[in-house]
Parts: sequence; C-alpha cells; structure tokens
Amino acid sequence: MGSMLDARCASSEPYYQPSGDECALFEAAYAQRLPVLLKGPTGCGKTRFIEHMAWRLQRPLITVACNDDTSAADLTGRWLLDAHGTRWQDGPLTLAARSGAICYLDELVEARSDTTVVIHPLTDTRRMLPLDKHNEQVMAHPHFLLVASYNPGGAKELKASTRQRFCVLDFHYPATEIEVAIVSHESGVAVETASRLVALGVRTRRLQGHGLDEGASTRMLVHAGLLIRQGVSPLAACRIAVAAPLSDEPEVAAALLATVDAAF
Amino acid sequence: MRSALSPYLRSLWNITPTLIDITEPQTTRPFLSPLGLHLPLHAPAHEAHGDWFQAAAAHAASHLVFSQHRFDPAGLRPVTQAILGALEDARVEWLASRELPGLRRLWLPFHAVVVSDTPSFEDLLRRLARCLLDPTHHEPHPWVIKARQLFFVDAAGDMLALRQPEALRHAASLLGNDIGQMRLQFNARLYEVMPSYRDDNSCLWLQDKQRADTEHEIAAPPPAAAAATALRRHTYPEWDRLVPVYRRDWCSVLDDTLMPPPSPRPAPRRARLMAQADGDELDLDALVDATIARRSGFGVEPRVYRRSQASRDLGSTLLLLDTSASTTEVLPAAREAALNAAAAIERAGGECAIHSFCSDGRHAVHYRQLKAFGESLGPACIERLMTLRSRLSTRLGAALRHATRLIAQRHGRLRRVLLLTDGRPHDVDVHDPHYLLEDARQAVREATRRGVLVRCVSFDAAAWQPLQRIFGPGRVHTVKTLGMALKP
Repeated sequence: MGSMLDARCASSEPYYQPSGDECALFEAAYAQRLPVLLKGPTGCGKTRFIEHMAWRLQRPLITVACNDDTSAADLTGRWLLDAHGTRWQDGPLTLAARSGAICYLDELVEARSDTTVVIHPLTDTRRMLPLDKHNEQVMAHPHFLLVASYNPGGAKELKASTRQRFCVLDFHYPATEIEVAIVSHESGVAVETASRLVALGVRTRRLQGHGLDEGASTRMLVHAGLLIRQGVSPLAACRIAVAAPLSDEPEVAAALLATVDAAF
Repeated sequence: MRSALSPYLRSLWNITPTLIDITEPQTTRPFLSPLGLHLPLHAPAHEAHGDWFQAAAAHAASHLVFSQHRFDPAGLRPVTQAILGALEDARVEWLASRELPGLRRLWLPFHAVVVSDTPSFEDLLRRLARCLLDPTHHEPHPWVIKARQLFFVDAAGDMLALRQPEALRHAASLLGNDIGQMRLQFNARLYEVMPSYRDDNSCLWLQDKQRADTEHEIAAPPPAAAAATALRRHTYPEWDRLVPVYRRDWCSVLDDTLMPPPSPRPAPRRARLMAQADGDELDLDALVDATIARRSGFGVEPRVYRRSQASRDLGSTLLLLDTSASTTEVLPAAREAALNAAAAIERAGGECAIHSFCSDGRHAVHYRQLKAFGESLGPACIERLMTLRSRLSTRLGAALRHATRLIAQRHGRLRRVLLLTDGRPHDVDVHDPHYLLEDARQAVREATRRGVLVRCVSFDAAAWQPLQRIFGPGRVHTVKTLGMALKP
C-alpha cells in the first residue's frame, strides 16, 4: 500500500505560476483540513494547481475524473469476486481517506447525485466515511484532504448542500504577463511568440457570451505553442489548436479563423 | 463572410460598431458615420477576392481604434486633403498591422501595382499607398520616395515618423505643393480613395453640421391599440439584424392558455440490472449460481454483479405547427403527422405537446395550445386539431421564443421543439426578406443556450436553404412527399 501511494507522489515539482495568493490560501485551508473547491473555466490551471500543491505539501494525490456514470461505489469501493470468494476493494476515496492522501474529484458536478452525498460526512467535523456494504466506518487519516473542481459555465449546477461544505478558490485565466510566462514555459516557444498566442487568446475571450461559451483556454494556447515548437507555422498551429476547437457555428468559426489570420 | 464581421471586429479590437447596409446599389464605398460602419451589400465587381468585406471592416476598425483626431478642412487644398487621407490610412494600417501582422497580408492583394511612365496624381497616390503598406516594395518615383522618407524614420519602415496630427498635416502640405509644381491635375469631385476597401475618409474631418440622422434611435414600440381581449399577451424581444440589437418587448404573442405551474419533478425511475459483468454490488443469486458452476468444473461466470441505472429519459417534445395561409395544402398532412408523432412519443414514455401559431403583424402572433403537456390525446384535443385553419403569416421568432419559454419549464434533460412548416418566415409588416429569418435564427440560438433543442421538418424542398440558415446544418428535415410524413 505504501509503495503504491509513494508512486502517486510527484517526484519533481509540477510547474505552476501563481496568479495571486492562492497557494497560501490553500495551505491555510489544508492546515485546518477544510475541503477546497476549485472553481473556474476549463484549461485555466485547476488540475495543475492541485498537483503543485500536493507536491508542496508532500502528500500523495489521488485524482478521480468524474463523469455521469461515476457512482458512489466507484468512489468508496465494492465487493469483488476472485478464486477464493469475495473480496472488498477500496475505492479511490476510501484509499485516500485511510492513507492520508489528497483526494481530487475532478468535475465533481458531472458525477451522479448519490456520489455527492457520499462525500458529505468527510467534509464536516465528522471526517469519516461510512461504508455500509463493508460494515465499516473509516475515520479519515489526519493528513487526508478532499478537493473538488467545478466549471460553473457547464450545464449542471452544484447543489447548495454540497457547495457550502467547501472553501472556494476562484480561478480565472491568468493575467497577460503571467499567461505569457506560462505558455512560454510549458510549450518552449520564445516569449515573443507566446505573447502573440496570449494576445490571440485574449481576443477570442472577447467573444464569450457573443457566440462562444468560453474563449481559448491557457491549455489551448500551450497546445498551439507545442505545435509551433514542432515546426508547424504559427498560423496553421493556431487554426487547428485554437480556432477550430472553439466553435462549430459557421459564423463564429469564420470570425475566429479571420482573427487567427490577422494575428500572424 | 459579412455575417461574421461583428464577431470578427469584437475579437480583433473589442469594438462593436453597428454594421449598416448601404442600400443604394451604385454606392460600393464603405463609410463611417456616428451611426456605425456602412457597408455595401456586394463587394465591387472587379474585386473578386473573397476577403473584401473583411479588409474593409478591418480598415474601418483601424480608423475607429487609431484615428482619434478630426482634421479641420479649412485652409487645405483638395490635393492636400487627399494626400492627408492617404497618409492617415497608411498610418492606422501600420499601427494595426504592428499588433496584428496578418492584416497586412489581408490588405496587400487589393493594392494593385500601377506601372506607367507618366503617372497621374491618382496613380501616384496608389503607388504611395502600396509602398507605405509594404515598405519592402521597390518604388522608383521620387515623389513617392520623398513621401516615404517623411512617413518613416528609418529606411526599413519599422518606425513611424508622423505620430502627431500636426506632423501629418504638415507632411501632406509639403507633398501637395510638390504635386502642384509637377502640374498634375486633380479632380476632387471624381476622386475616390483607393484601393476600394478603404472608406471615403469622411470620418477624418470636422463636420459643419452633425448629420441629422444621429438623432435617429430605435424608439420603443407604441403600445398596440389592443382591443379588450381575454387572450393572454406575452411580449418578446425581436432581433434586428441591421442595427444589430434586440428590440425590447417588440412582439406580442397571444396565447389563450394559462401558463401551467411548473410540474413537480418526477422521481427518476431506476432500473435494477441483474447478472452484470460490472456493477456496484454483487448479485447474490448470480453469485451462488456462478460458485456452483465453478465448483462443478464448468468454468467461471463473470456476470455476478448488479447495478441500478436510470431509465432512459425521453424528455419533453413540443410539436409546433405553422398554420400560416400558405400551409393550406400541407396542413392536413402536418396535423396528422403531429398526431401520430405525439401518440408514438407518449407510448414510448415521453411527454409531448402540440401547439400552433400564425401571425398578423408583430402585435398579434396567435398561439394555440392544441394539446398541452400532460393532457391526454383525447377527443377534445383531436377536435382542436381538426378545426385548425390556415390563415395569416409566419412570425417564427416570436413563436419559437414562446415555445421555448413553455418547454423550458418542463423537467428532464431532453427538451426539444420540433417545428413543422412549409417555408421561410414572413409577416405583413416586414419587407426585408432577411429580417425575420435572422430573428428566427437568433431565437433558435437563445433556445439552444437554454438547453432546448430546436429542429425543423419542412414540407417544401425549396425552403431548405433559408431554414438551414435558421436552424443550422443537419437540423432541417425535408419531407419530399406528403405521404412520407404520415409513415409511422
């Protein structure tokens, strides 16, 4: 078990460029073991942030990507059958609670509604996880912390009873200079190219609410940068990594392509 | 490309000038006014490039962003005014393409190379425009070379010399004097700014009098002289594609049915699936069988789990019948198709409503609920359906907004509006053929944003193109023969 968790500890520091005091705030919440909800648009650095914080706090990180098929049993565990009979298998949440890891539920709102109720006892002063099928109450390890992420632009909303258990760190796309540094570091392109990419990103975000649900994410800009590093021309890279993935609507897609053409 | 100009300018410069059509067919010159950017309906015939509108919009936008100063025409000869305009055009384009280098690539194809041994003043201006946009371009004429040296600090054209309005004015005067000394003719009345994508530069000059039409604004509609009526009036905005803005409370939908209170959320039905290969819990019966089988030497049966799964949600469907005058022939088929569809949907466990609409101007969009959600498909419904008559017009946008509002109150993840129509929207008080079409398109987008799918079944193959524009590709289904609609 120990070795398995060790493998979940990052061996080197995951790159993260803070935008404000979010690292200090997270450390404070962790010191008090308060569950944290990371809120923000897609591709703005939520997942990278939690990887970085887990490394800073020297805790193993167990990530669960939730989808609409994720059930409570997927988190807590279930009975399995093997050659000798039945055997209980802890789920990722139970594993994290027993061993004192940080459990990161990515896109929690996508999970089935029974899932969100399962985490409730872990998020208040009880800090325990009842496993009725295993006839057990797991008391959370002192180092355990629950972190979830949530994209408020999506179709679903988080229930108030769940949301109010968390401290919320609000994420946005980083400020321009910071974003340039991130794109340049992550993709390896020169600062000059990175600034052009970020300027393009800012331009697409102006269409938010005017045909686009969300503008280009930092991740998209990094993708474009990686393509440029691969020898693709900036124009072609931004067409396939930024303009095309953003919209299927012919009008908006045409405007985005024209914007990319103007930018390089 | 024209329809993409609004989002294009918003993303380039974060500006949203109102795009206005120039309706006189002989005018192909764009211009800027306090109202917004005026664009011709068609690009000039000789500019075969597809990007003409894009180039025109990008150039006008550069003026909006970078041309802050208004020059006083007093004391400037027409030649000097023309040169000043050309220099200012070059200046804003240079500033714009410093930020967005691709713009230079967009504009350059419109700058044809003019070669002649005895160039006219217009020829020289065009050569100057080209040479200022593309500093690498070789230009032998001494006047153009002089203008270039005044315009840029360095030979490579990386630094602008004329940064202040006064410097620009001074340079234009110098160059204008040279033209006078060269004894070149200039006819100010016939002069047109070149190339054709550039606006007429009237925005650069102080105007003596404000254009009278600046006071034009879209007034709120006068309250309709509505007769006392028992019909419930719901007002909806309408999208004006020209301005483009929503006209608030512009259309009245008359719907005689009470808005039903939102229905209580039905409990999700869950089906318990036994003997599954994967699941949350062990299925005891399957487990015992599997263990017996294994101990008896029959191999391993892996399907020993059970899981519960939400049963398929068929959601709500609203069938919207267009009953405008043109539907006389197809209405019997349409309503029978609607009846069959409603019966099939309800048999399968979904809920369905049949509504109809026709319009008589924006103050009277008649909307009827022939079969409401939850109402059984009984004799009363069928009677209402069978007494439907084709009359009046098709104000589709308002009807779609009302339908969206009604269905948005239903629970369930899937909510769809299916329109059965015979053609494009039309109403007696609208003469622009694109106006209602664009409004309907906007209404479909609003519905999509509220999570309501809107699809269309058309009884007229000829209407496919406008309907496709309203509903989006792949969302219009054309019924080729009336019998086809009746197939269960």
